[in-house]
Amino acid sequence: MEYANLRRQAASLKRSLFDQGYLDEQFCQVEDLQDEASPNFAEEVVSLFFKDSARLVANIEQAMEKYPGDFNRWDAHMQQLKGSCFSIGASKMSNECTSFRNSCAEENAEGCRRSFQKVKREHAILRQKLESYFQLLRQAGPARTATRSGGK
Amino acid sequence: MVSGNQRKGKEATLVEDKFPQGMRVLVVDDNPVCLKVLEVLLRSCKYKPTMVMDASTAMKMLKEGGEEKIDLVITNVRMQNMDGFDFLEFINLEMDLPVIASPGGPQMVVMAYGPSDGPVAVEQDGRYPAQEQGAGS
Repeated sequence: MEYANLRRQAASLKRSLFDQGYLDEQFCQVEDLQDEASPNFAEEVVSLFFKDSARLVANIEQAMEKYPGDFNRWDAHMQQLKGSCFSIGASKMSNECTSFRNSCAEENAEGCRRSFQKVKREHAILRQKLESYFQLLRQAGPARTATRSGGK
Repeated sequence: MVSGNQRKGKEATLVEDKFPQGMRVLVVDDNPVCLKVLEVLLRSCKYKPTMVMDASTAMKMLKEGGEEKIDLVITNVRMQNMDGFDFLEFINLEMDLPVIASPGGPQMVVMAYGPSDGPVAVEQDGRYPAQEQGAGS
């Protein structure tokens, strides 16, 4: 059945995201929080994450332009972003945030700039992958329908 | 941020041993993603969370009789608009409430304050610290 196939694809995509280090255990915890009361919780949180992280990335960009050399300020902004990454299990992105913060600690502006480019890149990649994942899940429908024979 | 440090199965049991269902938790964090995850996590433990995005609002709420309505405070200590440690100090000195404070860092070191005890640093690798560490009440 088509839905079972889509569900398999979603599971496979998720597995690869873990294998390649894009996601970690925390993502499973977020998905585990889904229930009848909040059946789309994971997608809602991820959607909130991307909306909020776009804002945080813009803040960091602005801070780096307006306050050159103000590593404390840059770090404070990045710490917010890292906290969000941690909450949803965005592992690779979180690691790049850490690199940025390390460069701040070393007062290494060039290091910060390079790390920031990586943060933005990981952000874009993760957004695309998770959008694909949730789209597959939406197409597959709720888990119960996948076990029904015949179409919907 | 303490989100993610209470896995549903095992740790929920650990916490439920010590805390009643319906425990009223005040959560303070200026990060909306962390706040959302923690809210659902706390509800899944059958607690009653109140989510607040800044420490000033939380302080005002507690001062205006909120203390009677809250059993536990969980707060991020590194927020942008207010020094989280000022907030902690306020609770420690003026309120009789247990507090869990987190710097929101990946190491997730949680310092648990009891109403009369000093801070106890409890290391946790993604799991809620065991109560026998003597952390708070």
